[in-house]
Order: sequence, then C-alpha cells, then structure tokens
Amino acid sequence: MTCWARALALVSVVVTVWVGWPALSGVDGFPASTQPMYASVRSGTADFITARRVVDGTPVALSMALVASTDDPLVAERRMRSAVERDADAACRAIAERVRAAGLGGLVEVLEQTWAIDQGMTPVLVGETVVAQCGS
Amino acid sequence: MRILNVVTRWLVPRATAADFLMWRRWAGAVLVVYLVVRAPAVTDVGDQAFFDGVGAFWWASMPLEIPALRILWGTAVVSIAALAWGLAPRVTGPVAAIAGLLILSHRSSLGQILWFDTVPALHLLVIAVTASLLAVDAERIAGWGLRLGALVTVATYAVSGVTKLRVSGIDWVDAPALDRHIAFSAARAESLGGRPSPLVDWLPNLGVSSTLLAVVVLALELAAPLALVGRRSAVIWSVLIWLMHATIAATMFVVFHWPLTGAALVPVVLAATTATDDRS
Repeated sequence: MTCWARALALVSVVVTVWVGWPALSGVDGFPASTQPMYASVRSGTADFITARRVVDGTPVALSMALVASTDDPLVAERRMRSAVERDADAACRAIAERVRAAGLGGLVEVLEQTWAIDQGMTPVLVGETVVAQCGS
Repeated sequence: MRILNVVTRWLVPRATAADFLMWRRWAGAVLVVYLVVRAPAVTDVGDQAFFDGVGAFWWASMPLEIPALRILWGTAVVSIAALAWGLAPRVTGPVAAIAGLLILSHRSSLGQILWFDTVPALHLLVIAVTASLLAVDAERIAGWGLRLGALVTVATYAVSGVTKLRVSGIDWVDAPALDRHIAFSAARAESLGGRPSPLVDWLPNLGVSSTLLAVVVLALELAAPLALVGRRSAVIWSVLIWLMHATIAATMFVVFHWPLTGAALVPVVLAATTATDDRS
C-alpha cells in the first residue's frame, strides 16, 4: 500500500473516532453530536410555553410562525421557553407585534400549557397558566 | 504490517468513480433543495440573545448580519450545486465544504442544535474532499470516500443508540418511552400552533407493541456497524433504517431528510456492494 493510501486510512480512523467520541464523552456538539433526540424517557407530563389571541373573550390559536417566528417545532419550543425566562412581557409584545403585522387583532396571551403524555400516544391538555398579556 | 495492510485496503478500497459520482450528485442535489426550501429559516438570525456558537461558529458570540448570511447561503447553494454537477471540483469542493459547514453551523447556533443537520454537514465534507482528490487515483479515492461516508453514517446511528442507553438505560425499552415521545411531539405541535400527525389517533388501534418497536429501534442503532460487514447486511440495515425514519415522519411529523432521501444510506450500500479491496 502506498503512503498516501495509509494517510487516507488514517484520516478515516480519525474522522470515525471524532464522530463516535460524543458517545463516550456525552458532550453534544456540531457536527459531531451525541444525537440525543428521543434519548430520554420523558416524564408523564410536558410543559410548553405558547401564545394565543383572545377575541371577545374567546381563545383563538395562533400559527407557529406568529408564536415563535419559525415553522420548526423544536426551535419554537426552545425559543418560547428562553424568551419567557428572559422577559415574559417582552416576549408577549414581540408576538403581539407579529399578530398586528398579520392584520389580526385581539388580546395576546402568553401561557404555559401542561399536557399529560402518559396516556398512550394521544396527549391530553391538563392545565394552563397565563404568564403575560398584552395588546388590545 | 499485514494487519495494517488489510485495514488500509478495507478503508481505502477500489470503487468505480461512477459510484461515487452518483452519491455526489444525489447528496448534492438533496442538500441544495434542502437549503433552498429552508432558505427563510436558514437565513434568519432570530433573536440574537439565543445565539450560542457551535461547529464552525464555536468562536462566535453573535450571529452574522443578514446580508452576510444571505451571501453565505448563496455561496453554499451555488458551490454545492456546482460540486454536485462536477464543475471544477478542486475549486468548488473546498468552497462547498467551507460554505456548507458554515451555513449549517450557523443555523444550529441559533439556540438549538439541529441534529438532523449533523450528518449532511459531515457527508458534505467527505464528498468535497473526495471530489477534490479524485484526479489522484479515481478508483482508490472514490472507494475511500464511499467507505468513509458509510463509516460516518454507521457511527452516527451507533452513537445515537449508545446515548439512549447512557441517558435512559434499559428503561428506554422497558417504560412506554416511545409512546411518550410520540405523544410529546403531538402535544408540542398542538400547543405551538403546528399540526400533529393524524396517525397518532389510530396507531394504537393497530395493536403494535411499543416495547417491541423500541427494542427494534435500539437494536438497529446499536447494530449499525453490522452494515459494514457485508452486502446483504448493508442493504437490509439500510432498508430497515429507512423504514424507521418513514415511521417517525408519519407518526411525529419529524422529517430526517438525509436518510429519508437516501443520501445518508447510499454510501453504506455502495461501499458494501461495489467497493472491493485488492484481494477480491
């Protein structure tokens, strides 16, 4: 075997070890990752921060784009959690701004929903708490 | 020395350049379509407060400005398309590798690592380097690229299996973990204004054991290295992994585009079925 073939083989070994290393270290990164999606056993309930409109006292659901400026549920979940931890009122105002820009009216509520996810594959909404209100 | 030679021959087998070019074209096309379809998300910086640099942006504390991000996106799309089509691979290879890694790293730096982007980023690097070196010895380099691509795919699934065991232990198959993940995805979609899969409601009626499915998933991931052993095992494993992702997409609306389009699995199958070392 030529020297350059050995060099290529060495590169393959190094790359494979690099890609596999997070399994041992437990440190997630990019692009070498622990691939932690679905790795945990979830508890029986799941909490999400979300938002909705209230028109004439009736709650109206918002699209994911209006709630979190994304169409990716994973990103939306993280964004809403972080935004509310930082400043719930500011998060509410940002959503109300998007709602207004979309030509929609009504009060905007940011709320935490709790879902039971231990009753088979179908989730059940078991509670919600409003954490901020804004808009008109 | 003999063992070293055997290992080297396996890691750097011979394959026809056409086999590698097929993967290059297909993976490149998938990545270009992905970047174009996801352009609004890829070129969005979101809230700067969430930025947490990873990958090629590990050093950064702020996202790129929008104009710079759009230029980077355009460079990535054009160079990956050119690479896929075989235009000046010695130039487009390195440009595509750098631009592609940067744009995918940037997207995963916006507060959430996107795990389905990790393998495309790794494979892009492999394809770009392989395409750049192809002129040196087409058969050897093509075989090396395919084998390395297969190793990356297999290692990623093995890591995923090990992580499940490390994080949850045997509870991952013992408890109704799979049901809860499916219910969690449905709840998240419903809560955040998305749409849960309608299959969630009637899947339980099929009477398929979640525990059995969990065992199959974990076994597929941990047994991934078997796909490197022979032709039949490579094909069977690849088909089963594809079915696993198709089921995830159907029940959770979570689309792993890289394996579902076959871009992640093509090197596994080709390296096992067409690459040969000097002894065969």
